[in-house]
Parts: sequence; structure tokens; C-alpha cells
Amino acid sequence: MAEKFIIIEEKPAIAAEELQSYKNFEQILKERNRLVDKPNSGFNWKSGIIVVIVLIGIYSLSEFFFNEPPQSETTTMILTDSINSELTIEDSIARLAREDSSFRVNDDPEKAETVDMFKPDDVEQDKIKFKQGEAKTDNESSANTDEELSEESSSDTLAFSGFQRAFPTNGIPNLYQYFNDSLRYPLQHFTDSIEGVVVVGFAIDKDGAIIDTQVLESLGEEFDQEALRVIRGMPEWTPAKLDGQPVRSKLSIPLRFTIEIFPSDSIK
Amino acid sequence: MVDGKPDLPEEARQVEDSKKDPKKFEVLYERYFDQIFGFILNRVNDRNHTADLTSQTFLKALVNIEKFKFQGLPFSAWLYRIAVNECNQFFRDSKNVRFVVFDDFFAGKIEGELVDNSQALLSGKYQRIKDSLQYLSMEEMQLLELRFFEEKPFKEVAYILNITENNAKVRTYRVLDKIKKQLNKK
Repeated sequence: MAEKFIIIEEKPAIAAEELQSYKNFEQILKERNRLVDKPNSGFNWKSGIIVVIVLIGIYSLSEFFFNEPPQSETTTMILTDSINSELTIEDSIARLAREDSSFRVNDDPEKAETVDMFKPDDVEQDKIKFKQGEAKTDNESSANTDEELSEESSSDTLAFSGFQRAFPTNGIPNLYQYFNDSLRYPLQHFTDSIEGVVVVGFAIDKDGAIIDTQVLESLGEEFDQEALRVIRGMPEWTPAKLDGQPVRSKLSIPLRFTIEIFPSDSIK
Repeated sequence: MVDGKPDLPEEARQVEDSKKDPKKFEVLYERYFDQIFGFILNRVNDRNHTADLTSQTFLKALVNIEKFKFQGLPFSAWLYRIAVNECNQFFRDSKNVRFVVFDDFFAGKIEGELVDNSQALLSGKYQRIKDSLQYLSMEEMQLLELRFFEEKPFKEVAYILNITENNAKVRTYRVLDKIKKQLNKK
């Protein structure tokens, strides 16, 4: 067993003058003011609260709701039937739609069997070639969620009918900025040095409202409350669209609480 | 402050002042800086790390000063509590070795607690106690240090370690028993 402690027979000596030189109340006060009064504006709040955002795509039917039935029964059928495939390949669709204007999703009720939408030489071909209703378990959308989201948010007016997921109206970078500015470390846990991630699930309603916020992964009551507060106060979102119709969609965002104060080089 | 014992009502007032105006915290900082620095230095045995940890201790105390409620204990107890946590965190994160100062004073205090010390400890007694300390866990060592090296009353020991006073007593005497058993083995 490794030695747990080393016993020394004399106290480490330190001269009174040297001890005095380590005192620096001004520094403590400065740090305190930065943390308590304006915790988010200091340049020295080094890594401070880093917010990692991964907007997790919408993978399954269960995460997707229609609050308002479309006009006719036939349409409802088509919409419901096509969700499965559209959801799983939404990223590819969006990319392709930009690259290839001939792309289209066939939403004719009579011919709803297949969807033609690729060029033979497209590198993404394999990923998007599918038949309607085929259960796809392709996870590439989750791996690339971040960059694709920002990509997609810049092209919110796609000239095709299909699924388009919800995105922050002002763009992902602004959302990042908002999290950085708003998320505060619960100071009552300051002494415990707790760090970690709270995952908050929420839904963007058809009108862009943030609803159904709930903590999916907890880090403790205060952290959860803070994460919920920040999520509920997020800037405007543009709702997901299916065939041009706004629909409700579910998302989740992990918020990271970290704390790093007084890096050792700041004390001299 | 009289004879190193803080005047509690006065200290309570100073804490209340600090809650209103953080600058007033300087009085408490000045009063306890040396103590806390020494406390941490004994464990860390490195001045730069100690300066760092001491600053963090006071910073956390100041940031959380609203939470501090007087329970008839000196303000230092709270500082020690934060310092202990800071040190624990430091050792966990850095893999630095924890030091324990076992000087004649500490040895004498422990010896005084061991009832049947008459024959077993006649020669080389401190060395034998020192050897027996190696069998203690870090938590057990911590208890001994707070109680017999820092000479904290059980009430404060309990507060610093966030356990009940009774538990602090029971555990401390268990540790002493453990040392006795080690001594009797030889």
C-alpha cells in the first residue's frame, strides 16, 4: 500500500517577513468582487463557466409531436409515414438540398413509396439512399450536430418540403454567448468545488416558445435550477418545420458548470 | 482578542460587517491568516502551494460569508473547515504527498492520552508512537491533528469535519485505542 502521509518531526519553518509577504487582501477582495458582483464580465474569469452546447438531433418519432393535425386525413398519413425516414436523414437532406437543386421529396400520396434525391456521384449517396419507412440507425447526425446546426441555421429557407429542425433565430454563436453570459455557478456550492454537466431537455413549440423544460441529468438542486433558469430564458428560437409547417420538436442541451479561480500564477 | 482567544460577540459583529462591506473582512483576514497559512503549510510543506490554498480558503470564506451563521464557534472554525476541504481537494487532484508534523508537542499530547503508557513507552517512546501512526488512515490522522496538534475542542473538530460532536469523540478515542494496540503488540 502506498504511503498515505509522510511524518516530519518539525514544522516547516517560515520567517515572519516571508509569511507577511504572502498576505494579499486586495487580491482576495478583487477576486471576490469579480465572482460575486459581476461574475461574468471579467476577462480573468478564465475558463469560468464553459458552456458546451451540443444540440442533439431529433432521432425518433417519440420525440416528435404534432399538436395540430394537418388539413386532411390523407396528408396526416403521409406526414406521419414520412417522418421516420425524414428524421433520420434530415442532415443529409438539408445538405443535399443546398448542393443539388434538383433534389426533392416526393410527397404525392400516390407515389409516397420512394424518395429520389441524390446525384449518383454524390459522396453522401449511401447515407441518403433509402426507402420510406426504412428504420435508419445512422448516427452521423449526432457526431456532426454542432457544425451542421450552425450550417443549417444560416440556410433557414430551404426550397424543399421536408423536415427542418428548430434552431436559435440569432444563430448558434449568439446562443453560446448567451450561455456564457448568463450561466452562473451557484455560489453556495463554491466551497464544495462541484463541477459537471446538467443536461436540460426542452421542446420548441410551433410558435417558437420554449416549453417542457426538464432536467435529464442532474448535478444537484441548485445547479438544476440554474440550468433551467438559463434554458427558459434563452433567446428566440425558430421552430422546426415539416413540409413548411411549424411543428413542435424536442431538444436537449448539456450545460457545463466548471470553476477555476485563483490560478496559481495569480498569487505572488 | 484576549490570550489568543477571540472575543466571540465582537467577531460576530465583524462577520456581520463583512457581509455588508467585504472590505471589513480584512480584520478577520489579518487575524487568521498566519494560523491558516501554518495549518496548511504543515500539511502541504510547500510555500507556494500553501499561499495558493490559503488565498483560496479566504476567498471562499469571503464569497460565502452570507452563509456563515454563528454557532458559538470562532470564525476560525469555518476557515479551518474550508482549509481542510481545500487541502483534501489539493491532494486528490495533484497527487502531492500529505505531510504530518509529529513534533514533541504533538507526541507529548498523544502520549498523555494513552493511559497505560508507563512501561511500554519508557524508552524511545515518541519513536514508537510515530511508528504506530503509520497504521492510521488519513481520516484518523486528521482527527488526531485537529484534536491534539491544533488543540481544537471536540465541538470545533466536529464542525470542521462536518460530523457530530459525539461522533468526533467516539472516533478520536477509537484512534487512540488503535495506537495503543499497536504499541502493545511490540
